[in-house]
Amino acid sequence: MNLAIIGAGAITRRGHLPGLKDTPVRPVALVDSNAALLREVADEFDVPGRHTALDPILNDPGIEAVAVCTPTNSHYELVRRCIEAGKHVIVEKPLAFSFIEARKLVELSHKSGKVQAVIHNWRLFPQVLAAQRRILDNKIGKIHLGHALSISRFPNGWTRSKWPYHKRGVLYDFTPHAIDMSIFLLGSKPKSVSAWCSDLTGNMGFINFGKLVVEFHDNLIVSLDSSWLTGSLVFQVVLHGTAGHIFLDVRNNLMFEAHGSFTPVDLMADYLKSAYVLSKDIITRRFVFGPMQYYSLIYNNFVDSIGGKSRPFTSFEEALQTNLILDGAYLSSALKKSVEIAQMTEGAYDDQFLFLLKSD
Amino acid sequence: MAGVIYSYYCRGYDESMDVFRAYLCKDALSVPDGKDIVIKINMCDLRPPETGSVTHPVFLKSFILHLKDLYPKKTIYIAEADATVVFAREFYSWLGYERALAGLDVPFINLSEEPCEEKTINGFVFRSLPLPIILRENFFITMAKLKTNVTSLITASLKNQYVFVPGLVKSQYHSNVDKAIADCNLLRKPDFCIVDGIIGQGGPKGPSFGTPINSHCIVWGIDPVAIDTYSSRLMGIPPAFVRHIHYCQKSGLGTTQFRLEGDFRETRINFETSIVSLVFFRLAGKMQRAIQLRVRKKR
Repeated sequence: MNLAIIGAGAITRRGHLPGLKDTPVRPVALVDSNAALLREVADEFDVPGRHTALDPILNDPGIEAVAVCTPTNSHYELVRRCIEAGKHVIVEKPLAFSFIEARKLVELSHKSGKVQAVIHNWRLFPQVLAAQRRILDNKIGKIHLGHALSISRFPNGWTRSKWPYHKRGVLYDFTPHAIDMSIFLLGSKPKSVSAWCSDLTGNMGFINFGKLVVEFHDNLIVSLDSSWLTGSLVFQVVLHGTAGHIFLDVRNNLMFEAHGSFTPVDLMADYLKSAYVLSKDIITRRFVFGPMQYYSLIYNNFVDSIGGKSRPFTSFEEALQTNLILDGAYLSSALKKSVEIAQMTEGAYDDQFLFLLKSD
Repeated sequence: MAGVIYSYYCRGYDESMDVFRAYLCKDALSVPDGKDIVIKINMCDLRPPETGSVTHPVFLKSFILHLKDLYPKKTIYIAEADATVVFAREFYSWLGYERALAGLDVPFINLSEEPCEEKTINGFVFRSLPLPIILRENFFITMAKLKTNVTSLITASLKNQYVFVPGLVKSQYHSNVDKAIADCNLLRKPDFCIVDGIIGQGGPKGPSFGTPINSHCIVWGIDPVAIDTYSSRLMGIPPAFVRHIHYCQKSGLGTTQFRLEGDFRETRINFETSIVSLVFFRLAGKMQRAIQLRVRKKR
């Protein structure tokens, strides 16, 4: 399958292009407005087609699919044009810059007859999949409480001294991973969201830390903490069910399951298991690559979905839920009240949200 | 006065002004007539000042107010450059310098955007380097932090000039960091050095992600080699292991022999690290990068 990639930034270089080597997908074209970067990345990975505009790839019938790896604020326009040109589309998270745009893309995707997928590579850590399996098998009973901690460094290493972000800051950077992880593990849809997002120093003008409380259907409450200010990368999810608990350290691919009160035997068993998993991951070099190593799996799944053998890991429909929670949190924090997701879906908050975006 | 350094106890940033007023006089900080003052601060990643990673805005403000008392007619510039993980102009605002210095009439200059002239240095790594013209013509004060550093073992006065290596991705010279630091100091040796050690940073993950250390000291002098030698000892790292001190001394930038004055009595502060852990972290980082590059090429 011939693929064009839009955006020659860090995620393309570290994730997409290296990951394609183990798939039937051939990167035939790369698009970026920065001609120097375009040439450098295309040379490094031997991509034959190089374009600084979108039209050549949209008009090329030989290109069946497009990967959109650009900053989020450009997703809507690029994805829309690709879908309208009859391409299969895979796009980096979050799907769109706002739930209004995401909603339009979902509608468009329903009509297209093509495959659309959103990349949430953190789902594919083996211990995350193991945790999901345990939950589906009812090993921890009815989950009613959860907590996700998604803390990352301020993303200047990726952006090389250019500031492409906006007032929503960390909320649109690393928080989508934690939201998606919650949706993925719980298999439920959000009902309402309350959030407190802030700028710690008061000088930055964008959200650099925040707390979200999401109420899912079926009496399930999850809190999510995010920050850009700790200088660490921490991604952990804790879920509490009526029959036990799951402690998931996503980045380090570790999971601890507990039932009843924790005994020294439980804790020692967990330490031993952690040491074993970590040693194995270091020896096999999985640890070094972290979430970047799952792009091959994502593209193989994308190809299988196009061939009708599978479903995308994350559909546009599912990714819309992440956008709804993100923007619901932004609205809630600004309006200082809880926001009902159903009302957002029906368009009740569209005007207020668009007004907020104007100040971005 | 080379070879004399001053180290004073300072309980907190709010008291830094008192220390300057009491001890920092025109004899110690002598700015020639006809020259303005450029202060190169230390910004290192988006780390708030209480982490010990960056120059504290209150410290900078106290120093500037004192300078204005000493030299009321001189213009004072604050300088920093863009780097691998630094957006100089944005960080100047985000980390609170702009707000702290509001009304003091001290312009900020991004050294990455300043006109430069190529200066031959015949250094260890570079034959020549671009020197911002504003630094050629004015009195240059380097305002460093007291920190451990995973690549150069310590950050003090000398490392603060590493900003002169060309390009945005300054980490590309990390394999030769000690020699590159010496070259940068050959390009423009500071006229006066001051180290903000009220909150320093220790642990093996400095200079950005280490452990804040309440080291309660302010160090100044005109010999950056002497200051780094003293700072290194203070942090419990033998200066002999800090190679940029060796290269800078060899280049005639200063001396490791110094006379210490001031009221700071500690000779060694627990910076919660050791040379072994710093070297170990450095090797682990190098191995990780090497594996990533090798596998990327293999793929």
